[in-house]
Amino acid sequence: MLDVTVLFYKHHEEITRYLVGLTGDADLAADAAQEAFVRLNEKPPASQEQIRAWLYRVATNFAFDTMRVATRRAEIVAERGGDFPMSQDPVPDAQLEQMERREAVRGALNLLRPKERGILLMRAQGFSYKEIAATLDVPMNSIGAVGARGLRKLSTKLSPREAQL
Amino acid sequence: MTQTLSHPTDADLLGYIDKELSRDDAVAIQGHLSRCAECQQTVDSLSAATSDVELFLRNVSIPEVTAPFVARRVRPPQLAVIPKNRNVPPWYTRTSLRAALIVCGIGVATFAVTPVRGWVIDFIRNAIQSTDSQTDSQGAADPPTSGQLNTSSVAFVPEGQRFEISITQHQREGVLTIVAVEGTRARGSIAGSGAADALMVTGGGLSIQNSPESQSSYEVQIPPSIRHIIIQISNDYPVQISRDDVAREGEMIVSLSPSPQP
Repeated sequence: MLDVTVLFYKHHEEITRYLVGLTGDADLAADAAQEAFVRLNEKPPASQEQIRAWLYRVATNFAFDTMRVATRRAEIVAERGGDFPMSQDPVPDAQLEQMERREAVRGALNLLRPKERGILLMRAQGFSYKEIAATLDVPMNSIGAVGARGLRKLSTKLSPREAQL
Repeated sequence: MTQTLSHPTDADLLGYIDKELSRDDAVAIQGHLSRCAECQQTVDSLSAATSDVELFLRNVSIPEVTAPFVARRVRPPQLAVIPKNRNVPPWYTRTSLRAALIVCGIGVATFAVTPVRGWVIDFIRNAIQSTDSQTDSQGAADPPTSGQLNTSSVAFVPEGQRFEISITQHQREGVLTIVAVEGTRARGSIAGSGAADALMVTGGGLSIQNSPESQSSYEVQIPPSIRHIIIQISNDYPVQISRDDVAREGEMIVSLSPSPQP
């Protein structure tokens, strides 16, 4: 028996984080994550193996579909520098540099193509290339190349000096 | 791995970082990195960018889940509940009405089919012809046709208080019933005699059990108070005869047609 509640508390947060990074829209991320769990509750997959990857795939597809409808969304996000919500808790000065780094990563991620961004975010979540390919509908043998290209773009934006690679 | 002798590609190096390469390819990459500072720098850069993404993900604030996720889903609009109307007929009445409507619909639809319509029209035409023959006092009994093989003709000859009934073309077995009618209700008594298989005077009239081979002539006494009689052979269509009509015409021949089988 599929315990959706347990799966929700186990995966909802990480999926939402991934979706925030993927979409740059906290509300859309929340909607996409919710949609994935609602579908899991209403019509779970035939196989209960790799539920986590299935949730990511459903949420990603929902997010991409929604983003395609809102075609101007990326432009708006780019114009105002994105709206990745970051923690508002007060931080010591020692962490200020790290926060600036995260802000820079946020801006750099926002400039990547959705597929590149998705690959990098799913890699960071520990997914295998096979799972990433199935989730993002990308050929498995191109995951490395697309991911490396995304990382190079990211490095270029984060540190122009690293663009000399 | 696509390049073993020269520098490996970025995809190979990323696969090495992600442990997606085969053991042999990973060993080859590791050996190359130990000799190539440029590729090692690329690996470090890719790893650093990966760490940046991981750090970013760990610190992204996510919307607080304030309610169970299922409850947040917008429910589809619910249809308004219509209060029960006390004037609505009970279910069996509604069901009967619906069934009647369906039957009527099927009947109309069936009648619209040309062959069936032809049959119905022929049936009505035959019925009209049968009625016409009853009222035609001068006409002789119609010979049975292929569609009227079971038709029997009953002749009435008035003789004072008596009616002589002659059954002609009686081609089948049956019970001839003659019922006296007074007003709208069958009542009175009729007496008869004849050489039939059976001749019975019932409470409401006279019944004659006949067979195709038996005598087919009977005498029936009908009291003057009886102005009409109803004759019927078995379950054929009943026909009503007026005493005055028989007396005026002198003789009346009635064709009795079998009713259609159910």
